[in-house]
Amino acid sequence: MMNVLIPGSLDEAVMHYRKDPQHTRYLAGGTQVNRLGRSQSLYQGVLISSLVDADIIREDKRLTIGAGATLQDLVDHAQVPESLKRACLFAQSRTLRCMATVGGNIASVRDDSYLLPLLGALNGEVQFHDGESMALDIYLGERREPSGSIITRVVIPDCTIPVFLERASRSSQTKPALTVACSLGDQFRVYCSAAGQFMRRLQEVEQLAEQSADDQRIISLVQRTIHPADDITGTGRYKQYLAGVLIAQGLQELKGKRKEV
Amino acid sequence: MAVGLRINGIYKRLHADPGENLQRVLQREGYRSVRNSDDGEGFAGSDTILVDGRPAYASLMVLAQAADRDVVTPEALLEGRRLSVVQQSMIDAGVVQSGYNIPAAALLLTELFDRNPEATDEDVIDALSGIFIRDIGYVQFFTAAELIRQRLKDPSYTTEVAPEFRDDLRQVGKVREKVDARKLVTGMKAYVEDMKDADACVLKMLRSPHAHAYITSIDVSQAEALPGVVMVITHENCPDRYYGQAGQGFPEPSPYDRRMFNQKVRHAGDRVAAVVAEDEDIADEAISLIRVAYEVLKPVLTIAEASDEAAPILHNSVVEYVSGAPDDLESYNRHADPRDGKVIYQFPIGADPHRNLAASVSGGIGSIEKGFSESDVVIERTYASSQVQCTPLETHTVYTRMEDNRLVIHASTQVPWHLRRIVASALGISENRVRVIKERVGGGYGSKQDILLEDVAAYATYCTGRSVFFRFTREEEFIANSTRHVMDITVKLGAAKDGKLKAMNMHVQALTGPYGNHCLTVPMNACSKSLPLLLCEHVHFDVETYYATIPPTGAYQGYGAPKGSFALMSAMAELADELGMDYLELIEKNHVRTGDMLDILKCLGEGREGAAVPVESCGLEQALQRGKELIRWDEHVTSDDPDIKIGKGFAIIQQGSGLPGLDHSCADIRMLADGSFMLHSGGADLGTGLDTVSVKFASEVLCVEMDQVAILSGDTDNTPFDTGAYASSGTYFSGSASMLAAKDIRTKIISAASEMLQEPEDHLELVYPGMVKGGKNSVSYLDIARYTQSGTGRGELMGYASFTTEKFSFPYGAHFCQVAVNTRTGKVKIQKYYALQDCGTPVNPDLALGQIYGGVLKTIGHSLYEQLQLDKQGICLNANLRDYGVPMVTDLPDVFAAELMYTDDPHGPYGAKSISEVSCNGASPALFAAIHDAAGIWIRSWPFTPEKILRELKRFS
Repeated sequence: MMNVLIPGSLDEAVMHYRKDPQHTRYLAGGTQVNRLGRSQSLYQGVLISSLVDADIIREDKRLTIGAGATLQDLVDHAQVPESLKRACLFAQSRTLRCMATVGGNIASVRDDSYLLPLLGALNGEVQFHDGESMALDIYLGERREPSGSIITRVVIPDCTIPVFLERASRSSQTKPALTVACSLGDQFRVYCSAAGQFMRRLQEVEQLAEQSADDQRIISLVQRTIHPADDITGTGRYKQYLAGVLIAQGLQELKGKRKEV
Repeated sequence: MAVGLRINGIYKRLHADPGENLQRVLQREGYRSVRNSDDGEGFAGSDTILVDGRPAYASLMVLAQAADRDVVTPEALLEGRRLSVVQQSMIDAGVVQSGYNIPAAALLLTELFDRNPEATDEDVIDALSGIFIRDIGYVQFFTAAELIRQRLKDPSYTTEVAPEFRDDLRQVGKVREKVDARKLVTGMKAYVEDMKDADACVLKMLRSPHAHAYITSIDVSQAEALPGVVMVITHENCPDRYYGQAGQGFPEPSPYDRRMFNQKVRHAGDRVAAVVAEDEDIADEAISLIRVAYEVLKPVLTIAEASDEAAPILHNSVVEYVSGAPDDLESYNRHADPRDGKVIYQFPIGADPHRNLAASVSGGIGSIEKGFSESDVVIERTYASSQVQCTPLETHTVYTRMEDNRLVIHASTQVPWHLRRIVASALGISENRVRVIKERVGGGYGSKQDILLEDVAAYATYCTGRSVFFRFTREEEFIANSTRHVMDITVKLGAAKDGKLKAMNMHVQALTGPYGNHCLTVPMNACSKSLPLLLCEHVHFDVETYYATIPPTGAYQGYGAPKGSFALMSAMAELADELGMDYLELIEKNHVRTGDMLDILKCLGEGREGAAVPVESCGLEQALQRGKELIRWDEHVTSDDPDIKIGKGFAIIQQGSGLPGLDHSCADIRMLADGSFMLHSGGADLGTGLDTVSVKFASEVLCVEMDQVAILSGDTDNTPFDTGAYASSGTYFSGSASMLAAKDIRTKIISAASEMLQEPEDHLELVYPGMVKGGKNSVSYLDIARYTQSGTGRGELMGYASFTTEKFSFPYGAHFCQVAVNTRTGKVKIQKYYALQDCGTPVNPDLALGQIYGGVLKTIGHSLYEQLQLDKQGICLNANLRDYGVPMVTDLPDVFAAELMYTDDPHGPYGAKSISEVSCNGASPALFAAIHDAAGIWIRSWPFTPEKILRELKRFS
């Protein structure tokens, strides 16, 4: 059975965590930590749900999301952009959306994350309990190993930029083979998350997209760049193909929007 | 430590560990409708509650997360004894079948309509998106929602929820409340788990990590020494008796090829040791203390591997025959390995276990060579179908206890009497020492036709005297529950240029898995429930079933028919293409009609001699005509998106109604002192509405309202024998028995009334409501009851019937669909799906529609999404509902409609035939044809994944 600690502050929560990071998990929505009951004997939980902000604040183009906001909170909020709502709706279970928090979805760093590819494409930034903040890319690249820092907010500097978002799975609620997100702000940003390969930014593809309108070149480059493994969602080759065509489609659509502007 | 929270409006301080799983806490506190069907996956939603007004999965929370919050469980919906608008509307719409998740659905719909009284169908999909319901395919929830929406404004609102049939009848063919619906929608005590006592032990199973191995040593001493461990069972101390797990009529065609525990494990997940302990944690710890050494053998995972001459042998066993042993048996057994145990056949089934051949059979009519030589066009294709899981919401569960010196088994089973026989045999005790009580079944779909856990729990109880509760985890459900057999079916068809079939050859190769449950009958059923759909003079079939070290197989709704239909109908679609003929025209030219004789059934007797059988009612023509109109068969549809290709397909289907000559059902009915009736049926209602069928038949015969007939069913001590609920036998066999028992008591009622009224029996008739009317006077059932039970009368009136038959009643149907194939991503979207089915007289029309929707959605899942995936060592890679890929409400076709094609069958009770299994036979071949129509490709293996479509389109190599 899980030992649950109820800290009075986020600092206290972090202190608990750092005492035994290997066997400690933060508990907010619980959809990750409690999943399949395996954690019951493995971890102690530090309950932070009442300590983490759940506000969603839109200031002009800037969107600040409290890490305690649930995916359904985002779906229900009038000022959240459609792309972000759509990413939340990739979790097709409303019950799950009502439980899963934004912070938990980021911190669990899953290869089938509902949010990460889009937050990457939107140039998201994560803020921590100690006031520190960093780009999501850096967090995912450098902070993958748990340090104990608690995500308190996610900031999207411009949530109005055009994005392309797709997720491919056999059925609506099974594990996806692939999620891609592309955006066009000052430049293209391209993210791909495939089962068996954690999400990554495809900067070579972004550069090529600026230089070339040739879909085939994009597709080829994507397929050379990512190397997802064979797994229950399909072969690596299938995922490479799909990533290629979806990203090429996304970039074409975004280029169309650039022309419109 | 105490945690305070408000549950259903009442503040409570729960003395429990804050880290304990909330679902467990709530169940223990008596909120039994917060159930567990996925072990905290956060997917199936049996554990749905509201927390601060929003839906949540209780299993994904620990108690501490609920502290100081408002928790609402489905129990809150009932106001005293009064159902809420939502609950009543769900019952009225016919969505309550097996019911395991129905309280959760009621809670979610309540939350939705509280939030938005004008909720749309789209909102209903969103609200129900977090629960899995396997039995009814979700569609009727939209009807329930319409009732809720309107009744919130006008509580008296009602509408037609399903068409009604037979104006000449009062109950049969009419929409009536399912007899157990209130119990299920409110979450009352109903399932096995609700019956366990507080002091019951828990049984947990140590399972093999290897697909194929000998246990060379097993040390349970540390486990046995652990305080709280009551018993450990292994192959070294279990009964030395061989039996099979298939719940089929004795003598079974399935071999007795296992003991309770074997020295050889034959699939990853096979039984190694059972621990009986005071609680689950102790059992888990004890399991971790068992030391097992294995001699690992090469796994056998495919048909090619299993049938290879050099393949590792799963059952290099001593073979015995109860009858019909071959002359060379002694030499056959000479090289058997004693560690492999025995295989005992009741009679020959074409097996050669030393070559992994579990069963085989061949047969045919006419001359296949002649037929093909006379054909202008011949095609031969192979269709592969994968291993699919039944995934009942209530996992396999049993509770066993001693009552005096008798063993009582509370079971979630389709076959109470087979269960009693098999358990008694396994334990070596007589059947009169065993009582089986079938509780409500939270989904079976065939998997609860097999005895997968009851034998072990019963043995533990019998040895220790302790009550034992054993529930499969969801993972165990995937690795140790029966699945539908893997099959490769090669179909060869020959036809004249005009499309008339000249010859049909079907070669079925199947994998039975580690043991031979249904190894002859399921694959043979692929032939017997598909070939008779088409008229052809020259027909041949071969069936071979092999042992393999894959998870077990067994019965699954439809048996082998969904796979046989997939192969045969798909081949017909390909033949039409080859002939350059419209597929529908080809089918219309060849399908059976009323009056046709099915000669092929002479050689498809499923382990006994068959007989040619006439088709005496057939709604195929109606179904085809209606489907053609609905789908607009002759219109080609295109998309504005050049990547999207749209196509249409269909398939015709059939099944049986039980197994004439094999099945046997009994019922009795008694008149109580107030003139009401108590019906005892052997039938096992799986949630499909069989009890309602039986009550309808009895009340129809006896001219009373349904509430005048109470029913008890599936209790081996208190109800008469029934072979069980499988092979679509419920309405036809168990229902007929109830009808005939009612007719039997009717004659006794008339006889008693004749004495009372002093009129001859042939001047009397039963009239509604519960009267016997003569030429001059009439008498009520109340008066008859008082007269007969007065002490001077003839005594309590009782009717009894034992129903067997040689007559067949075949349900038919046609399924049509329209799909959009994205040729760039391979994604298939079902835009329209129409299921048109002939079940004779639909006894429960609303429930019949639910059966169709459920069967179709299940097999859409099999066709497009679901697949038990194993690695090269035979380990299951996706043993949970999400990764396995069951369809949810969010996967419904855009348009999904079922219609009932009325026929009046001369042999079925009130003209009724079966409904459920046949629904599973159309989706695969209809989708197969539609995908080809859309994209020009034939995907000949399940599931039709985007990857397969893209490969077939040569998008990548």
